Amino acid sequence: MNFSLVDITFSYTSKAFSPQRVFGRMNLSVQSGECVAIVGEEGTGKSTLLQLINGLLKPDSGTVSVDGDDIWADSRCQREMRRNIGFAFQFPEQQFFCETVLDELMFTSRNIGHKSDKTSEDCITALQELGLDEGFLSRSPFSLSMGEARRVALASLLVHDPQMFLLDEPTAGLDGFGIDIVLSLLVGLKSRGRTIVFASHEKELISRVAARVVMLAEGNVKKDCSVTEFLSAT
Amino acid sequence: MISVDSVTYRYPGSDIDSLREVSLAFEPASFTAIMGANGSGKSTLARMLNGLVIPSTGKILVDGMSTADAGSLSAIRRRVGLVFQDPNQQMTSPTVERELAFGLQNLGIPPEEIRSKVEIELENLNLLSRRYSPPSLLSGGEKLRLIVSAVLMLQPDYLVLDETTSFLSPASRKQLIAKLIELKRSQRMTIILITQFLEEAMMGERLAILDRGRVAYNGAPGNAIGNREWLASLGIFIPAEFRPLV
Repeated sequence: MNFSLVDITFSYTSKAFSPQRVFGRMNLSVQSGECVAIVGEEGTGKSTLLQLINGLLKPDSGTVSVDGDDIWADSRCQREMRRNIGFAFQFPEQQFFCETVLDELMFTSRNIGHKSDKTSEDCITALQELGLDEGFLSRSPFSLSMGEARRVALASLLVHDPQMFLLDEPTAGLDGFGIDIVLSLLVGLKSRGRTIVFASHEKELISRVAARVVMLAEGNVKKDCSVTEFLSAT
Repeated sequence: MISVDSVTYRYPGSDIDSLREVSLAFEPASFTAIMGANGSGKSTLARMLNGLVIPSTGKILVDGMSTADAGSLSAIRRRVGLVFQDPNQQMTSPTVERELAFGLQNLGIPPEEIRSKVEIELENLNLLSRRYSPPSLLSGGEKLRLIVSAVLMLQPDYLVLDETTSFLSPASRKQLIAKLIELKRSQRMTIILITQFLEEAMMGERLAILDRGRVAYNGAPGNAIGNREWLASLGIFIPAEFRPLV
C-alpha cells in the first residue's frame, strides 16, 4: 500500500470552542515497505497525522489516498485499507474494550472477518513475541500495568498480521526488557517488508527502526530526511 | 514524612501480591526516584501514597496520619499530589481552563484568586488560545503538562509522579525535572518520581527499585548504576549514551 496525503488541512472543531488548527496544506507520501518516524514537540500533530492516515480522522480539505484511491470518496476502499493496517494508540487502554486479553487479541480478526482462522495458539505466540506468557490470556486488559497493556496492544496487531503498522509512541512506558523486545520486533517486521509509521521521541527506536524521519512543526512537515541526516543534526 | 511500613497488597481476584512487605520512607524536601520493570508494583505503590489503594497488610503514614483511616483521607490528599501515568484517567472538566480551576474550587479558594492563578498557568502552558477546548483534544504530552500544573496549583507537600515523563519530548522532560528540583529547593516539596529513565532517577538523592512487588534496592542512585548486569536483570537498561539530564 502506498499512501499519499495531499494538501491536508485539519482542525479540531466543535460548537463549544473555536477551531484548533493542526495542519494547513500538509503533504506526505509513504511508500509500501518504508519505515518512517514521525517526530516533533508535544502538540505538533504526530497522533493526529497517524489518525488521518488510516481514516480515523477526516481532513477538512485535501486528499488521503491509498494506491491512488481517495479513502473518503469510496467507503469500500477505506474498509479494505483498515483490514491491512494495525493501529496502536498512544494510551493502550483507549483501544481495549473486551473482558479478557484473549478476546482482545482475537477481536480484530473476528471483527473484520478477514482471517477467521486465528486460534488461541496464535494469541499465545503473539504474547510470547512480546515477552508475555499465556497466563495473561484470562486477565482483564484493564488490570494491566501501562507497560503490559502496551505489549498486549502490540500483540493484538501481530495476531491480525497487517501489511502496515501505525504506532503511536510504541515504547513509551516500557521497561528495558520491553523496549528491547519491541525494538527487535519492529526490526523483524521491517525485514519482512512491512510498512511502519511510528511517532516517537525515543532516539534509539528512531535510529534502529526508521529509514526516514518526518519532523512536524507549526502545522506542517518541517523536515523530511533520512535517519542519518536526522541523527547527525540532533 | 511518608512512611511505608511492611506493606503488602493483592488486587481482588488476583492470586499474586502486587506489593510484598514493602518498607520505604520519604523524608521532607527529598527527591526519590522509583524504578522497576513493568508490573513490578510501581503504580500500585503510587496510588497507595495518597490513599487511593489501601494496604492489605502493613500501613502507610503521611505526617503521622494513616491512609487506612477514612477520616484522614481528605487531609492526606491535600498533602499528597498524585499525577497518574495516563492523564486521561485524571481529567474531569469540559475545558482546559476548568480543569486547572477544578482542584482550587474544591478547596474553596475565592473565585478572583482562582481566575488569576489559572490565567498565569494558561500562559505558562502556552494554552491561552485553547482555554475553552476540551482537555481530551490536547496531545498526550500537553495533557500531562496540564495535569502536573493542576496538581501543583494545589501546593501539595508531596508530589508523586507516575511515569509522567514517558510521553514528553526530551526538551519537556528536561524542563519538568529542572522544575521538580526547583520545587524541592524553594518550597521544600518532597518529590517521588516513578520513571523508566535512569538519567532522571540520577537526579534524586535516593533510588528505590521494585522487583515483582519487593524492594530490590533502596539507596544512593550512584551506587546502583555500577552493576550494569544486575540492573538489567531488574528491567533497567543503561543507555549507550548515558549522561545526566540536567
